[in-house]
Amino acid sequence: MLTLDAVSKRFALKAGYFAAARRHVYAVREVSLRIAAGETYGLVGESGSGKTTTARLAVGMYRPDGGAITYRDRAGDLHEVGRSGARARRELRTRLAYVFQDPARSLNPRMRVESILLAGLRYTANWRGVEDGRSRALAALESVGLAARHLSRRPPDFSGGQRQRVAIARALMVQPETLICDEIVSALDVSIRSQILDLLQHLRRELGLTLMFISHDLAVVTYFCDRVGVMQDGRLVEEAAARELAANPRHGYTQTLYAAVPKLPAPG
Amino acid sequence: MRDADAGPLYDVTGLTVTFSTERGPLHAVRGVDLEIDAGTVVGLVGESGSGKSVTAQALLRLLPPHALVNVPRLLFRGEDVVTMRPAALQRLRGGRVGMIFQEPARSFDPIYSIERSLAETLHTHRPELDPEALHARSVALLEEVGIAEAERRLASFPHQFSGGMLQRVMIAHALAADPEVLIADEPTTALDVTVQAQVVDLLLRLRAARGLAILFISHDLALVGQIADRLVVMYGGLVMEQGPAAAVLHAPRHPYTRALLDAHLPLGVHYTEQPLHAIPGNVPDPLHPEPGCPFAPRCAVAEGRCTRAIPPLVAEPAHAPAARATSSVAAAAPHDPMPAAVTGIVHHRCLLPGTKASLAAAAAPGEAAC
Amino acid sequence: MAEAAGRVGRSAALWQRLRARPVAAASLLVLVLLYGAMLFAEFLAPYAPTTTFRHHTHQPPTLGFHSRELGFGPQVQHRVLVDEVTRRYARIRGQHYRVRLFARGEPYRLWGLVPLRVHLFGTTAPYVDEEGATVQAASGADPWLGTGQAYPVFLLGSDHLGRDIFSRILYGSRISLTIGFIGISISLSLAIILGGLAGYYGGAVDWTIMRFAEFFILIPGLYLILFLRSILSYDWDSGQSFVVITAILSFVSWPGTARLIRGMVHSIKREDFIAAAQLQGIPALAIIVTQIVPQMASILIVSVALGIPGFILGETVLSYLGLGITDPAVSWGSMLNRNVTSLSNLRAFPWFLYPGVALVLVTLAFNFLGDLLRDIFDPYHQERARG
Repeated sequence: MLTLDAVSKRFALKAGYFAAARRHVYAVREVSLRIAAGETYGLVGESGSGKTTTARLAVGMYRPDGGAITYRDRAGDLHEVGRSGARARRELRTRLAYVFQDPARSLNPRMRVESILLAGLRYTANWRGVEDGRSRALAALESVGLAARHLSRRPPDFSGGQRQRVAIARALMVQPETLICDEIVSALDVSIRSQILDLLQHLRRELGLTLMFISHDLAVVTYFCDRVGVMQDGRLVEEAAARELAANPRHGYTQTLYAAVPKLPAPG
Repeated sequence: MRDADAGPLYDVTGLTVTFSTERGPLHAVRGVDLEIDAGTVVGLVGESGSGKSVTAQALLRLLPPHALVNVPRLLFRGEDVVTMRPAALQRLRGGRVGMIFQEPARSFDPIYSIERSLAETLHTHRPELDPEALHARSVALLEEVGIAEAERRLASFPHQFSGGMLQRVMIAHALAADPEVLIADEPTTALDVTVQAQVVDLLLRLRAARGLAILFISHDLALVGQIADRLVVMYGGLVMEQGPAAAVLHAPRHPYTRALLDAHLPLGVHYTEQPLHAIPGNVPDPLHPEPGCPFAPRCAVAEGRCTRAIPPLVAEPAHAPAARATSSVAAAAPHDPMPAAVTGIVHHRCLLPGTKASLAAAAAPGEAAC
Repeated sequence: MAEAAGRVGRSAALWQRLRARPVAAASLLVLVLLYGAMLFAEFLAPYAPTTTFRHHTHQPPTLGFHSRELGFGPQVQHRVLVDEVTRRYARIRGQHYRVRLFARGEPYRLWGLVPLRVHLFGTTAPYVDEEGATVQAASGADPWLGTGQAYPVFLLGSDHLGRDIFSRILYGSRISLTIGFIGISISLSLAIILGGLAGYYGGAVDWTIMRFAEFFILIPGLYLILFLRSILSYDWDSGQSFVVITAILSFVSWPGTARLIRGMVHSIKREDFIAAAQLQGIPALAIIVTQIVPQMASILIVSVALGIPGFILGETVLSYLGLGITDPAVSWGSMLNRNVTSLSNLRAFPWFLYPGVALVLVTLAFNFLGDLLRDIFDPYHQERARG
């Protein structure tokens, strides 16, 4: 269970050497949310709304400037995210994993898939040697619908959808409990997007994953998630069950978002 | 003056573009016919690698030297663009044909103020204007694209604008020389949905006010469906289907168009209620094009002959969508522009007769037609 | 499969570019030949670098191709010193010795292992002393066994001790051509580690390393080299001084490359795949070496190709000034140092400049090749394979 309690994060604006005071901009302001085990939680918002920062805070990539993030794992142990030391970070790494938006950028184009998959595992408590790592890499690759022959290829040899599969496989290597997916279908073609969403849904059921799903696409989020939070300017402005939000958006901003989504006429 | 000519503004036949790359020839566009009539919005829809952007660049001969372009006919208002002299080509680019791109921030020189860059564009096409007239014209252009406090904003620099505002400035640039056609290559892809809606509104307003023809290129069928009069659906460097927008959206003839429509997630459906219509397979690789229909490997109804040769474009009269009640996708939006009757010709590239029927069968799970 | 096709495509593209750039292609050929010759120096060189022909000092190239006695074919004519001061020689009519391919000559061990006596070419005629008397134990016997020498053939002339310049260039290339590679790998390692750390961590680490690097950039390189060389002891054998020279040259040349690498690391570390690696808990040095450096491979290849001539010339400068390689070891620089001592010397014996010719050839070849590689790897000219 992932809990964000009044979490804030600010970034320093670029200031010159001689600037008297540093100016800050708040990316996330006092966001509180709770993702139950096995739940799919969606975070939707426009660019600059703070949804990616929230996701990165949740996985410990940034440290919060205020508030607390905690993670209770399946065994019932409580971890503090973002402020923990090296050992605690190491433990968290096998529980929380993160998938980036654009696989073309998040996979090192010069590394073979096998090295990509094994690179991180080496530095976790789950490392049991190269042989074990290889069989895990193969298992992870197969679980995302790729095969052993893909192990020796490099990211540029794949299509966008396949690349995102590799990125998901990398996240699965440590056998995490929770997967944080940051806009993972935004860079993909429409005809590929459904495949990846299907895959994620399948993995969720198969592995009992908890998912945090970030997207700017309201239709995707309300389709894919159980609960959805709407972010605007670093704040969580509305939170509701996905079907309820789709049926009855309450906050003015959510309504604006709804109105702006292009709709298709129904085919005859 | 503009309405004097009856023919289309742009008339393209058999456009092919091949890039020579280190991995071999890349077949970006493999024979595209395109017509843009005065005052109409043509929507060009396709996924990555479909050749839609390359097609647009070819219209202005903007392709890099390693692109091998072969086009038997490329006419702008009856003038051959292929043999056009550099001076005439210069008048065409950014003059009679305006162009806007996906990322406006990259199209501006960061050290030029908006006024300076706008004045430069204006001066190129209207050298007779004096500085005061240039200024007045710049203000008028910014106001036309809906930028408040145009006088003040002229002194600003590109980084002081948001993405949506910068896209408006870019449109102002494109309008500076009073173009007849605006080529918009994914103009809203980098923008937020709310801003996207504003930009689309602006484009539609400009079309109405100026009688501007627009070639609107996007990967988003729903978005293009909102703005376009005619739709061209591209896949694998080929036009899969084209015709009046309403006809293509309401009664798609080609399985690819149908699959795209099905892949569109309407607001309000939930995974617990409805599975996704996933299209299996990958988008085609332009380095190794299929000998037959590029969609055949992913098509639910493809037959053996689909994979052997590229099916020709077939013309069919567009018919009005009669049975709205049988819609398989969730309810249409309230402002859905449902025409009473669609007239015109639909061109599509599917060999299979009665595609609609077989597709309906294929859409039901577990009942593939063949 | 797609990958294999990609690699084939790349090498085909390289071939295409080589054909379009004949100068670069010729450079590549020159380098391949020179490095090949370096490997087989013992076989290709007719004599050892230390073999002296006491009565044949300062001789011009002696290989001839025709005489009445022997007809056509490679041969040498016997020469006798006529002026002790100007070292002028007179050719003796009628005394010609055939130069044979695969002639038996001085024994040697190829790569220190294989004992052989066959050289690519050489005479089997007995050595003739100053007065023209044949120095030979028994007719028909092996001259190298009798007196230790056969009649010399000097392809590029001989030096002031009567050593074959051609042979010495071949042996000298072992130092002159390898010092570049060894030097650049030391300096590149330093540059990658220091520049990489500076770019990766930024902040105080960056500041400290870069100020340190700038300190070295500020001092004129030659003076630093001279200073370092002079505070280090002279009494080294050639192996040791080779190591020391390489180390000094590397030490002077790393900061420039380090700055380049720092800048690149700085931009690459913003890539998502680096963030992904950090998130996975991969240590910084492992990220730099396994993820960041391979991104710069193309730039590094170019900087290696363009950096090598600097080392070769650096060694030459040191050796020419007498601070580098000294006898009995031989490098191109030390050959120039020994022979090209004055302008009049050079005017009288222009063939002493042949090591310099080799030097210019190699330097130019590396530069042309580096230019070609830069054009190939230049990100602004690289065509995107996928649209």
